[in-house]
Amino acid sequence: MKKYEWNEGLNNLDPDIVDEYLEQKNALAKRKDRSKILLRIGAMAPCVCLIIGILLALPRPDAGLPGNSGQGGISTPIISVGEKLTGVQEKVYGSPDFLEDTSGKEIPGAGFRIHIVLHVRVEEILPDTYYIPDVGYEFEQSYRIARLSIIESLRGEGFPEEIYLRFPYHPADVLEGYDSLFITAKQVGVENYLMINKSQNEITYFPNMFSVTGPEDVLYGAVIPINDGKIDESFWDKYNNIYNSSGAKSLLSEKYSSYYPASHGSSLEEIKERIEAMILERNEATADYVYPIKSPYDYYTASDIFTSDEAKAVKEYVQPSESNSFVQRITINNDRVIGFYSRIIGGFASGERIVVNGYTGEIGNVLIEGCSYSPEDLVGIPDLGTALDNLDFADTRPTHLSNIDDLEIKYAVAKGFYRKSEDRVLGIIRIFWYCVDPEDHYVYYMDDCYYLYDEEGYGRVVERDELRAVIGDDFIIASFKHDEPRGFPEY
Amino acid sequence: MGYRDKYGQSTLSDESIIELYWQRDEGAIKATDEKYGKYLLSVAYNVLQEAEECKECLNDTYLGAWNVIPPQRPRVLKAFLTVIMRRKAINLYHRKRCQRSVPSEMTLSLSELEFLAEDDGNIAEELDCKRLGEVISDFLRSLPSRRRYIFMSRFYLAEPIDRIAGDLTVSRSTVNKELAFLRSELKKRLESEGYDI
Repeated sequence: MKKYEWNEGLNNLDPDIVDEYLEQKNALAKRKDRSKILLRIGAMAPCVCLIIGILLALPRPDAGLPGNSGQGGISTPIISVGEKLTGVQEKVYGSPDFLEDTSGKEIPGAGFRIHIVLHVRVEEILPDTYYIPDVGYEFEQSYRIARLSIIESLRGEGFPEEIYLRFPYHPADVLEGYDSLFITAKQVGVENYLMINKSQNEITYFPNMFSVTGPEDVLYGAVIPINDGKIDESFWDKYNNIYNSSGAKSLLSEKYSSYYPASHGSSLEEIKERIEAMILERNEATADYVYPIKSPYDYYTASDIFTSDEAKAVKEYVQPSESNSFVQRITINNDRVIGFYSRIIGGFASGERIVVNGYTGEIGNVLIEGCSYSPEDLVGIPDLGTALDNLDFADTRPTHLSNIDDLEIKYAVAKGFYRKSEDRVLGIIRIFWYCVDPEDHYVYYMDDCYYLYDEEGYGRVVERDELRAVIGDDFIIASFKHDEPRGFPEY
Repeated sequence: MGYRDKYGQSTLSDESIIELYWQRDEGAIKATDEKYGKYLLSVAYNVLQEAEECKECLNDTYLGAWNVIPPQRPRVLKAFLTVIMRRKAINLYHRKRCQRSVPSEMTLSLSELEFLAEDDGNIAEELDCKRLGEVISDFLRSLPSRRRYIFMSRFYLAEPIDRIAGDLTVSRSTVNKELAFLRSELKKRLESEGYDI
């Protein structure tokens, strides 16, 4: 046996053995690290029982869910504009306002990644906060939306006069005060990308939505602000905890950075030339998929992902009806086209998700996750919206955190989910507590207790293992040790 | 924006990161890098010893993950990435070895398995590596936890003996003794399974 063959054998080890080994490694490492915060797991406070008592009196909700109506006679698998939902999708105690970070931590910089590149003018920053309704994250990203008029397109074609740009939550004046911007962005799923405006409790639809490239790049790498015909560096002084002004200065100090098309004092024309050079380089290096804007309906019906029988069956299945509400998101990346469909029940994620995985010009295949719901399933389900609305934890504290006296609770968020278990639909709420610790770190703790509501509308507190026994291994159940704090965005 | 704990470490959960892959959001790569980049580099470094080559393998690993998620949804992301990274690093290692000796921990750990023959640049017949993987897995399952840990650390990840000793808070000579036992038992098992040792 040769050494290479031996290593190939090791490459084919049972994955469980590798998993177990790495978990053991982690455990050994943690045992050695005594500076971690350790908290005891305990039961919830008696005040929780009081909350449950109130919830026990909830009436059974009526059947009937938000229906779907087409836009201008076109039937599309979305919850339509202005649809009202039952209850709130998320309950927040306290306010996740812009939090000033005094820790002086720097955020890594990012380059100007070439995707769709536009020269734009900011017409308006919409005042509300937006969320993605089908998100699978444990922590939900909030967004702001800017309405932009297009001066010129440097990469991409077929743009309308105005577009919307979605970017991670920032104060409203972040993009204001400039003559124009160069932006690099991605198109958001072409159609039917739905955002929940939490303050209005409705789903709002934005046509021609774009996003900055990557959720963590913020605006730092994706935007070049222009004033008086040249780069305006004051952008990086505005909120320097976000924009890492020292990182920006290092990028700007490079005369011909391959990552960023501007330097100190660059004029608009110079920037444009450098962007065009970067685009040429990119076009030659990769076959990037930059496609013209199509109308939602055109894209939906013509999409190559619906070529197989399986994929066509999905198209049938997600058609809107009184009991059928799906959020659709289509992403395109080079030669891959992927359609995601998530069932939303009364505004809450249901765990049912269908992925149509297609390659342009090839037959798409279908993946189904979670349980499927029939119209009968959706009759007489727990009213999670009202349960969430009635949940009063403003005066409660998470009692399983033994260091709670040292923590300043900024706010708490309760999120609702539906799950199906043994042919019944259950509602689940879990709570995140967002705190600042004595060292001024922004951390959040996920409660290790969950509220479980059955089809009768009764709710009770359950521990992690019990919930797992009911709904199985599900990503909404914490897999990490809940007694370790997690960082949360500093703004 | 970063999700960071007090050590400046990214703490996006694996599920969240995997979700980013599923949404074809390039933030997945950045999140993976923030959470596991250093660790993955250490896996490669044990094998290759050269920073540039390790980075090359790291980029290949991210690309590998990007290409298979979806449709895959790894149960344990770290292990999933480790397998990819190891494969990439090992492949590069063996390519390099055809040209010159590689002064890395992997070279040392392989030399400890004296029954293995040197690579000669030819694979005359295809060894059934999947079967070999099953045989080694079976062997590992028969071991108590500590010996399994030592085996995996030394031969799978090519970790230095001092580090293994430190992890287990035992002496270096204890680890060496265990390794001697493991080599002997492994050889017997491979021979009994018909491998030419």
